[in-house]
Amino acid sequence: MKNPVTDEAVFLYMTVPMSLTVLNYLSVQNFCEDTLVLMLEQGQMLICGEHLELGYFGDGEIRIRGEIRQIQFKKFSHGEV
Amino acid sequence: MRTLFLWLCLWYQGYVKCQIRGQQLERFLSMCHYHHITCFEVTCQNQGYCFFIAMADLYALKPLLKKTHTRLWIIEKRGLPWFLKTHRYRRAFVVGMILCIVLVCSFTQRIWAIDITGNRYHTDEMLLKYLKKQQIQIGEKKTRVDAPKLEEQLRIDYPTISWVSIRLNGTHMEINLAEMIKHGSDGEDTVKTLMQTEEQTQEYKEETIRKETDVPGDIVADADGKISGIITRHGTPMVSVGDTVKAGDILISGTVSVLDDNGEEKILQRLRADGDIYAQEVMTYERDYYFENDRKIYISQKKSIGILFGGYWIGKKEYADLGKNTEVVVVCKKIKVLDQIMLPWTMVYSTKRKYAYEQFENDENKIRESAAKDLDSFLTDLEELGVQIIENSVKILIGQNGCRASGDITVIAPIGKVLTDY
Repeated sequence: MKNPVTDEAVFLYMTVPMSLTVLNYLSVQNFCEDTLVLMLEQGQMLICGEHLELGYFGDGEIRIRGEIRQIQFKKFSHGEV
Repeated sequence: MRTLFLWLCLWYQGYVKCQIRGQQLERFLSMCHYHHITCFEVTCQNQGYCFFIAMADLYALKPLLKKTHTRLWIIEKRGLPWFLKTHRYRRAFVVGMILCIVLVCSFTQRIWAIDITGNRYHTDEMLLKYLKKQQIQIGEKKTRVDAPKLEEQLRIDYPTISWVSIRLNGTHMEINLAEMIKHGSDGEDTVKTLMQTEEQTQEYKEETIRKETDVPGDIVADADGKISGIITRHGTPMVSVGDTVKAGDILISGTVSVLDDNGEEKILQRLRADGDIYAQEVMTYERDYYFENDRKIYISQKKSIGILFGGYWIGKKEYADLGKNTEVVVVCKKIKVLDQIMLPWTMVYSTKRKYAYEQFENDENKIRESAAKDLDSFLTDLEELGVQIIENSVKILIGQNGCRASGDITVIAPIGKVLTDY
C-alpha cells in the first residue's frame, strides 16, 4: 500500500466483486453499506464499494465481502494517532 | 475449509442472529474485537447492524452493550441446542434420525450382495464357498477386498475360468467370469453341472482334464435308426449310408490302422473318434385329450410380508405349514437405497392360495385345437434342435371320451455319443 516515490496514500481500484481479508487491524472506525474505515497500526484503511458486509470479524482478522470498488490506505504522519 | 469448520463448530454450540441499534455501533464492534468476541456476517440493516454470534459469546456482550449504549435484539436462534430444544418432545424421532444416518453410513462400508454372472459349471454356491475361504462374504468390509488379487487367485484355483472381473458397485460385488468349457461331440457337456462339495470339484477338474486330452474312444449309436449321412473326421467308419443300426452299435471306431510303405497294416492305433452321423429315425407321438377335465380354482388368497436379515427370518413363514391343496408363491426383493446401495435386508412377499379342483367339459373343437397346437409346438421344438422332419403321420382322432393325437414322425437327427476307453 505504500507508494515508494511519494510515501503517501495509495489508491487501488477494483473492478470485480471479491472478498478481502485484513489482518492485524486495531478497530473499526466506520461501517456502513458503502464504506468501511479500519484503523491499522501504520495508518487508516478506507474501503469503498456496494453492499459491503463483514463475513468474519474478530481474532485480529476481518473479512470484507461485497462489491469492493476502491481501497485507500492513508499513512499516519508523525505524531498523528 | 476453515470457514466451514467454524460454521460447523458454531452449529454444534448453537448461535443466534442479533440486531444492534444505538449511537456507538462502531465502538461496539471495536470492543468486540478487543475482547476477542467473534461476530459473523455483519451487515448494515435498519440503521443498525445484524450479525451472528455464538451462544457462548452472547452473554459476554452485556457489559459492552452497556458501555456503548446500544440495544440488542435476538432475531433468530440456530444450531444443535436449539434444534434439540425445539424437538425435545420428539426425542425418539431425533434419536431415530441420528441412528438412521449412523446405520446407513456404517452399512455402506460393507458388502451386502454378491452377484456372480457368466458361470455355468461353477455353481454360485461353490464360488461363494470359495470366496468365504478367502475371507470375503456378505457383511465384509469393502476395504478388505483386493479385487485384482482375488481375480488372479480365482484364475489360479479354477483353471477352467479363462477370464474374471470383480467390481464393487456401492455395496454390491459383481463377479463376471468366462469359462473355457468345451462341449463334447456327443452333444453332452463334458462336465457335470452340479458340484457342491470339494470332492466333486476335484472330480470335475480331473474329468475336464481327461476329456480335454482326447482319451481314445468310439462313437456308438444312442438310438435305433437308418444311417442317412456320415462325415468322419477321426477314426474308422463302421457303417455306411443306408445301414440300419441299433442302440449301442459302433458307428465310428477309434481304432485306426497305420500302414507301412507296402500298404500292409503295421500297427493299430487308438484315438478318439470324431465325426457327424445322421440317422433316419421313427418317433412315436401319442397324446390324449379328454372332454371332461379338472381345473384348478382358487378359493382363498392370503398375502404376507416377511424380512430376511442375514440368515434370520423375521415374520411368519407362510410356506412352513402347507396344508392340502395349498400353494405358496414367494417373491424375494433385496432392499436397495438409491438403486445402488444394497442393505442386508430382503423383503419376502408370500402369497398363500388354497385351491380346489373343478370338473369342466371341453367341446370337440376346443380339444382338437389344443391337440393341433401341442403337435405344432412339438415339431417346432424338434426343428430348433436341428432335427429334420421327413414325414409326419400323426392323426387326431375323436372318440367317446375325448381325442387322441397319435402317429409316427420320421426324422433325420444327429446320432451317436462318444464312449471312451476309460
